[in-house]
Amino acid sequence: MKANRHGEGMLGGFRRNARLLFRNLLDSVVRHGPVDTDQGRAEIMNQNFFLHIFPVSVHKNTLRFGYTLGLGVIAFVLFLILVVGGIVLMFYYVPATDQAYQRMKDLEFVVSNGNLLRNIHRWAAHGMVAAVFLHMCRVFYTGSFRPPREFNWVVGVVLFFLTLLLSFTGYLLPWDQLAFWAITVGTNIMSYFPFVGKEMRYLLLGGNEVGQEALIRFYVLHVAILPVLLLAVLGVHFWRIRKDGGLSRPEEDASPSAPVPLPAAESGAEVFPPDTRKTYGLMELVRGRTPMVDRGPEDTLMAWPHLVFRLLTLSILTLTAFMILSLLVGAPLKDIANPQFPENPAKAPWYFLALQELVSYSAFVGGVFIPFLTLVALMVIPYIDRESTGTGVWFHSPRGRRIAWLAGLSTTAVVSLLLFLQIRTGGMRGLYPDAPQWLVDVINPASLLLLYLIVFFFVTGYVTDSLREASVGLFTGFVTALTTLTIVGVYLRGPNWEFFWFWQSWPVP
Amino acid sequence: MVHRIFAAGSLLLLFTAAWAAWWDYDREWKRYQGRYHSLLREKTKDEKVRQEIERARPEIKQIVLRSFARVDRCVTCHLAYDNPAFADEPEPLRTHPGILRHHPAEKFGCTVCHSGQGEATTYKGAAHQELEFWERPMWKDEYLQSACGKCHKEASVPGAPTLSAARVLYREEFACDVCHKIEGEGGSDGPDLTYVGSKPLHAFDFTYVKGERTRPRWFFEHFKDPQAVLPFSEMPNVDMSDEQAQAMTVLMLSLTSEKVPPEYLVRESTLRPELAAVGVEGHSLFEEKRCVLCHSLRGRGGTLGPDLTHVASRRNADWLFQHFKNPRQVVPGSRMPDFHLSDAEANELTRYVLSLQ
Amino acid sequence: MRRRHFLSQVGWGSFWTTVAAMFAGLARTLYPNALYEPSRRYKIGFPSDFPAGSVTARPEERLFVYNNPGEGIHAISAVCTHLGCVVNRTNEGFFCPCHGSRFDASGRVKAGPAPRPLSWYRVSLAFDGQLVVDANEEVKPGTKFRL
Repeated sequence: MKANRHGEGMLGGFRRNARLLFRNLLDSVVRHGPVDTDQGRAEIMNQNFFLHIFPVSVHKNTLRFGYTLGLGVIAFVLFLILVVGGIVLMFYYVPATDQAYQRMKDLEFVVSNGNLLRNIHRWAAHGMVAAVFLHMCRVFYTGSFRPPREFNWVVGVVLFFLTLLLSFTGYLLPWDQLAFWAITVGTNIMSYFPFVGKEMRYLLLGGNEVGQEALIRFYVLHVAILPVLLLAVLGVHFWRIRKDGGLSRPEEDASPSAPVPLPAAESGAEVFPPDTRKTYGLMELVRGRTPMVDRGPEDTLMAWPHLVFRLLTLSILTLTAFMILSLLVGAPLKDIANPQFPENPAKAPWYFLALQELVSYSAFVGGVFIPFLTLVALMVIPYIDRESTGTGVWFHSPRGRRIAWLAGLSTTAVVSLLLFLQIRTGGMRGLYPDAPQWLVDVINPASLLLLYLIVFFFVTGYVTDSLREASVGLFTGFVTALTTLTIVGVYLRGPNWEFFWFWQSWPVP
Repeated sequence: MVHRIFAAGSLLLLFTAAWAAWWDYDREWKRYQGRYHSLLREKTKDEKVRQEIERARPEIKQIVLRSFARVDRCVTCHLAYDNPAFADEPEPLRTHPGILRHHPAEKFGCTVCHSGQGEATTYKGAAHQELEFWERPMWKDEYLQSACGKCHKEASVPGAPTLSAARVLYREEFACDVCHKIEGEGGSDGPDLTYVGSKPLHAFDFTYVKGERTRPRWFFEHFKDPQAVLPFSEMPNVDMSDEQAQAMTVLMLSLTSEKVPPEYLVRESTLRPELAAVGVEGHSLFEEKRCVLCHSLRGRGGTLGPDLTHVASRRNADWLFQHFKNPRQVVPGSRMPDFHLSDAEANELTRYVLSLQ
Repeated sequence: MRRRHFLSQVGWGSFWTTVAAMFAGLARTLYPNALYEPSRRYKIGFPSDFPAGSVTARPEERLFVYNNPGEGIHAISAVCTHLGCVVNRTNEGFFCPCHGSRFDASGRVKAGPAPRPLSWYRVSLAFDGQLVVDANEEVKPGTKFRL
């Protein structure tokens, strides 16, 4: 009889394992020690599959809410809400033109919690577009795109684009008048793209018109292809955060309890320069007592519980806010889609309304040139501005803040002026009905606005001699223009795309 | 600090989840169903029915009409529609008037006649009143007759005097078909009216309409004075009275694009409008020919042929007329003899039999 | 420190309760409240349509309706309990052409692979006077509905 390592025979061994079954089971699943020691806290971050996205320890400034406003987290939480809610909605929604609208009504009236589900899906979608956009602005203003984070910025722009596509494809699914005509307008704008525009539209719609083929294609894109793509790219986004040394943060004065700097060598260089490329891995932790309580090396804190707890709290707040919103405000659902009777005005989803406004001035400039230029310009930012001073500071400096204010106010004024002139005169086409199209494309509010922004950029650059501050100005101008034009598109455009103050009533009910 | 926010946030989330659960549970229709069951318990002595009530759980009731591609959930609240004991109860628990015999709910649903939003399960959602983004609220008063027009294409529709009068006005009094087409018949000077009742609200120009911005109002004002509503219209002002304009409005609203399955259509049949007076003739013919020898009526009569008490819910006028004229051609193997009835007599009998309750 | 711990408890307690509530909500949401399937409560006509002593086959509803003089109405399902074919009526009872199951006039299995007798369904009267057969509710064989 061969005894086991405890010296027991078969029966003894079996009894032991039966007694320790639960303990062994638990230990095989939960691979970290109790989280009341730093070792345990480090282990949980490393051993848990979901938590290992995060570093074991983070810099204390990273956790400051006022620095990042948690916008990336908010965007991600909204994405999770959309995925979970969306999957449940898939049990009741049917992507057929003769059933889709009916199913929306079923969700509203019959399905338990159907109304809440549908509302939260819509509001979270709008919220995610806004959050991703604001997150992009935050990253820009804190200079967090600078090397080594350039590539992650580009990944972020791709994510923004995917978010817009997800929202756009989902917009069609209710198959009401709002959905149908918004997508009609949106895909028509797309067809202005030179050479391939019409083919792209044909491919996306599965035909020439918005119908059953378009609905099923949009559905497949919305529930399968785009979410998987987004998740994959999001994975890259998180990975890059880790590998680029965590979130960016402002360089600060050393904290009082920082290690005493060694005397510099004769060359004058620092012996231990701060290294932003370090990832805080387990190897940084030492067994036994740490020299400082609750304060790791270089002002870091353990991710568990500090980071994780804050993330959880923010997630709870986000979910609560959107649930309350969904219980109070219903998502719109108009009459069933009717290809024979266009909505007037037929408006694209709100995040494309600035685009639609520009398109109303010039189809090519507004629909193709500016969007394309914007996308390229966004992606190229981190390859133009590669300094490291001022990283982690909003607007780079007090002067940068002033420039941002100036850019914002002046752009609002310019947009208003151009809009006023366009409405009063009818633009180039109104003044000179026989003018050639290229002239109209060159002189119109869209191109003039673009011209203004470029001039502002170079003038600011000349005056301040700072590339960074000039680009802060340009970016602010661009965001201001976008916001102003969106407001105009949402509230001040009525039937036939005519201008109405928001207190004026439209001619049809 | 973070802990305070965490605790507060979690509590708020819990509260919100509880609110959502309550909001979803507390449905309007459950209250009506509860009231119906307690009233039913009071009204009935039948032990079997009482047991049924005890067993009943609140549920959404619906009529699925594949032929009209719709679902009507009105019966979730209007539970007493087929129970004669509720004739005096207030809505929604009131019995439906007798026309249901000819138009059983299982075959017609509710919204085919009443309009409104059948998919809804709330008072507001069902569009009892005007509802934003639902352009077909329930018909009120004589506008209900507009619904008859989608299946009944005869000149004289039983039970719809306003609609019938309007059809006569359209063709004979005002000669609208000189300029307007309906179903391919008429002139092309004015717009085609075949589906005018289904035109969406924003396709109407309300700039000069004085009354409320609804379709009936638009039509009414247009009929009273075409140029007042559409300044560039060439439609002549025919000095319609208010009643006439109202009737014409009913007619316009009856011209819908809703798909009606062919078996539901009642085309111009051999029933002529002159024979509108019901059944004194029919009743005496019925007695004269001794129909009760073979057919039972209200529980009395022979059993050789089927009971005729509710035949109106099974057969339409065309079928009955043909059958009276030649029973064995319509029902092979029938034992009913050919009574050699004239067209007028067959008409009378058809009218009489259809009016039976 | 104690207040922080209490707050923590409250927070975590609410959080996990909410998580549980949301799972429950999810389960409830997936449970259909209304079906697009045709109803299995059939209105089959007026009592006068089923003369005394008659047996009426209702192929659309897959039923046989009996009017037993002096005893009442009963309805037997025409769906074979083996694999769901529609049975034929014979002099002795019913016969299923698919795999040869035989039933007596009460639906009891006499031969063949059928594991259970044919179902008897609840018969009742609707408020408009029509007979209603509820295929959702089985009754004991022999139960008859007195008019």
